[in-house]
Amino acid sequence: MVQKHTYIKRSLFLIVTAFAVVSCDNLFEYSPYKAGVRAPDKDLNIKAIREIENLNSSGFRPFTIGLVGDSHTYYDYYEKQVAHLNKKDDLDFVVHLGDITLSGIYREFIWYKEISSKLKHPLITIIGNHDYLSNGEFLYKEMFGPYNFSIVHNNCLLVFLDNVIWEKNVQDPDFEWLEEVLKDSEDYIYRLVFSHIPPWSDQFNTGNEFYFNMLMEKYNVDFSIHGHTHHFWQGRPYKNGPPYLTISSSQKGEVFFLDVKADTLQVRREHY
Amino acid sequence: MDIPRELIIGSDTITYRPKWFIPSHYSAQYAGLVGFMSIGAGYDFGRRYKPTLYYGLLSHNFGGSSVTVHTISLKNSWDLFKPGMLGNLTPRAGFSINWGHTNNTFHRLPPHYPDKYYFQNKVHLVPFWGGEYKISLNGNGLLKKMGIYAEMSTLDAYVLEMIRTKYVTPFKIWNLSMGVTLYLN
Repeated sequence: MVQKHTYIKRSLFLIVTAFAVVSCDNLFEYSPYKAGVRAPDKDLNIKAIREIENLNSSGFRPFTIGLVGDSHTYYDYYEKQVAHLNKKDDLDFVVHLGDITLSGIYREFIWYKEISSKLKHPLITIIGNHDYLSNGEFLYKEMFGPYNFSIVHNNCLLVFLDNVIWEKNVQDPDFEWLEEVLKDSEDYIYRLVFSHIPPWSDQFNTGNEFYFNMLMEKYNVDFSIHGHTHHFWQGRPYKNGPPYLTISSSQKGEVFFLDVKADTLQVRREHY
Repeated sequence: MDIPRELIIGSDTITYRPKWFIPSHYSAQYAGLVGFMSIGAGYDFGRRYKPTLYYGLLSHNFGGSSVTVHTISLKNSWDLFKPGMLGNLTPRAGFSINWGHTNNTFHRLPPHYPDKYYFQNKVHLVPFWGGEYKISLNGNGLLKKMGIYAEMSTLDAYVLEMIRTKYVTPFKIWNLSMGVTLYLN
């Protein structure tokens, strides 16, 4: 009798364990600080840019971009944003303006990637300050590609800049790269710059703030688009230079759209 | 090895264990948030509590991470049932305190941050549950038993997201580790 009980208990224990094991998504995890992903989770930005190239035309064509940012671990809200974006058929692509994680740890990247994979539009993800924590810097590079990059889409120059300072322990963003990419851009219809941190925010000292806007002004950038603040704001914070936009974080219940038209750039804000 | 000995000083008898500091068990583990592979040594306190200190390594050649991670983990394990209740199988559970050393992890924020900009990210709690199958080695030599164990573990940060969100279900947070323990006589 005692032996029978032991047998039943032991079997139950093994069944529960086996069920838990086969149900898990990532069976083995060596460290939360692990960096390194395998295909098909590699170079997601590079793959997205290849998809976007199929929609590109050599001359100007009006187009719309979806904008989200600061999804952190607001996964339920980010899923709703993805579902809302999937209702739209007229988007060329979507840009996530950074802070896809809270602590830059392994499963946060995996969860972001899993939810994002449900998006039917190509998605470009830029790096935010939180994504630099732990080994997030290296995981980002493997999962998405280079930190700074630019594309020409429908004769518009779109620049994606990593402007994180504190987490990289640097003095300023890579202004040399930014200037290099903006230098010969006067022939494009629009010049749009996407980066996580707006120049008036905490990580920028006065010199960096001035220099960032000075480059925007010098090369006639038409719009500077950011996340980081978790709040929607649009306006001209400086006497000279372009208009700026910051979009709200995922849990605020909003999704943003940028309509790039021949005569104007228009921001739309929709509640999901 | 560490049979209690008695020492008589005057009218007092002192019982002491010689070589008390020698660990009672040694382990080697695969995965489980302590690196690709880890090795540990620990003690048996009472009948149920077994603390073990592990060192684990994860690197490019040792687990395929592009960045090296060193982890020191104090695993606090409790046997869930009386010894022998499930035969050779010992279900157990507990939590580890993991200290990870790699890029951009810190106890205290570097001075260029404002106060409380981030919470520390060097130390994590790792709850786990699992079981060990013990094989008696029946020898009078150094080794008493060998245990083969499997455990499911998770990270404090993942548990928090499971509580905070619907998206992170309980099945999304667990991972499997396996190991071998040698118990000394």
